[in-house]
Amino acid sequence: MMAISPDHIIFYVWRGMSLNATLLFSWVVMVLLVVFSWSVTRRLSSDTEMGQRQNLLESVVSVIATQIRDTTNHDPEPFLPFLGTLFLFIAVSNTLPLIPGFVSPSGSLSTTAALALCVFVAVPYFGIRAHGVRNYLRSYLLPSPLMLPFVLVGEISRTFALAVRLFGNIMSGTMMGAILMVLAPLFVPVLMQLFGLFIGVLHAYIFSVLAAVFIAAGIEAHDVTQRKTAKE
Amino acid sequence: MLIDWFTVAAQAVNFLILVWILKRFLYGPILTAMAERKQRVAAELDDARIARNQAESDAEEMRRKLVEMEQAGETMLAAARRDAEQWKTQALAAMRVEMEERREQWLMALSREREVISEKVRHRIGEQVVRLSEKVLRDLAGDDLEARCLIDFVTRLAGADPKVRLSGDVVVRTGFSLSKSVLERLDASIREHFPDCSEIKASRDETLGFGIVMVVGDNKWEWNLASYLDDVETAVFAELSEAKAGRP
Repeated sequence: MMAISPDHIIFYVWRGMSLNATLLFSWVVMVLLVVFSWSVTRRLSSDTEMGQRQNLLESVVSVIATQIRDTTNHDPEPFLPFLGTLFLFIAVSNTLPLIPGFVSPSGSLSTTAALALCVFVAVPYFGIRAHGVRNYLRSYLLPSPLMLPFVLVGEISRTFALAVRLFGNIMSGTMMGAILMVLAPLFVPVLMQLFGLFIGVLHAYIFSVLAAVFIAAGIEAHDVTQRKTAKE
Repeated sequence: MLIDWFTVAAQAVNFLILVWILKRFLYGPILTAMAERKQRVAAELDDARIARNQAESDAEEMRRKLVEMEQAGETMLAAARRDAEQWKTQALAAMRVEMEERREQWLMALSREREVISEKVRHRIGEQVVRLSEKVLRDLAGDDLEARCLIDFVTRLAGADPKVRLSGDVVVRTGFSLSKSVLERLDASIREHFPDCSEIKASRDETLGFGIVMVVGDNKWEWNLASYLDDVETAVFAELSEAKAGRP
């Protein structure tokens, strides 16, 4: 019987808090990312000559920044740590299952929900950072306070959709791989793992871009509201 | 249940920690390095642009100087050609003048040489004429000729103007010997033309050549062939000089 979520693979329980596979492999991913980044950035070169690993990191950061700029039409630097980490965490989590025994933490609905909650919080955070608390909260009451419940429902459903989308895609990949492994144990799993690799990076991209879109939409919606208010 | 809320909270915290750490160890340093590289590249590009502008300015300056040098060279070449042409003209003129002077000098020298040669020729001609005349006269000379010369000498002396009035002894010396008949004719002629003469003495003086000297008192008359031929020579030279002056 396979586990549908890595949350159910529990290694240790202490006072009701369980150390499951989701947390453990998330830490692995975090350690890999941090150690690799630290090993590269401790000897950074601002010259035109640089190492291959620095070149790789600069290329990745540059591509992410370009995508953020293209998506949000804003300076990418304030969003880069959040959205870049979102992409790198999901992409690495979805890529490492190629290593036997590694379980992707993004296959846990808890992880995707946590990430979606982070996005849910990030949208007002960047909105408030751009416009201030008062202006941002006042925008929820526009055009009429009667619309406040609908606005809140929209925000929550958007976060929920984001979480379920990533979870569903990763979980479905895992499920399909398991089913095909039963049906054709020799050849199809290799293809499915390659396909899963592609799907994993693609979902990391989609999740990050959606987060960027939501953040930008939150900022720009308030921009439009403020302009209308200013005209009135 | 699919969602473990403790895991959700832990993952959210994990994610936020990861965001903070990556911001500290990845994005910050990478963006700083990229910004520094961008500034450095921009500075190098600015330097390159400045250097390029400087190089273009220098190249333009060099082109301008090259054009100026070419123009100066052409000007100098034209001036040199003009000077050379002027020098050539002056040199040719000076050469012509010098050649003309030398030609004049040469012509003058040639003229002088010709005159000298002509003079020598004339002199020789005159000498030859006199010598030939003297030879002819000597060859033809005889008593008759000597008598004629004496008589003619006396006659011419008597016909001189003013009228010569002679008195006293008459001494006649001749370069040739006189025969008796000639002496008689001389005596007769003198007494005819100079009746106041008392005595007539004739003698021979070979130093006179074909000549006659007559001395009466303090008067002396002389004629000889040499002086006669000198007169002839003088006349011949005068004729030759007039012929040369009349030559173109």
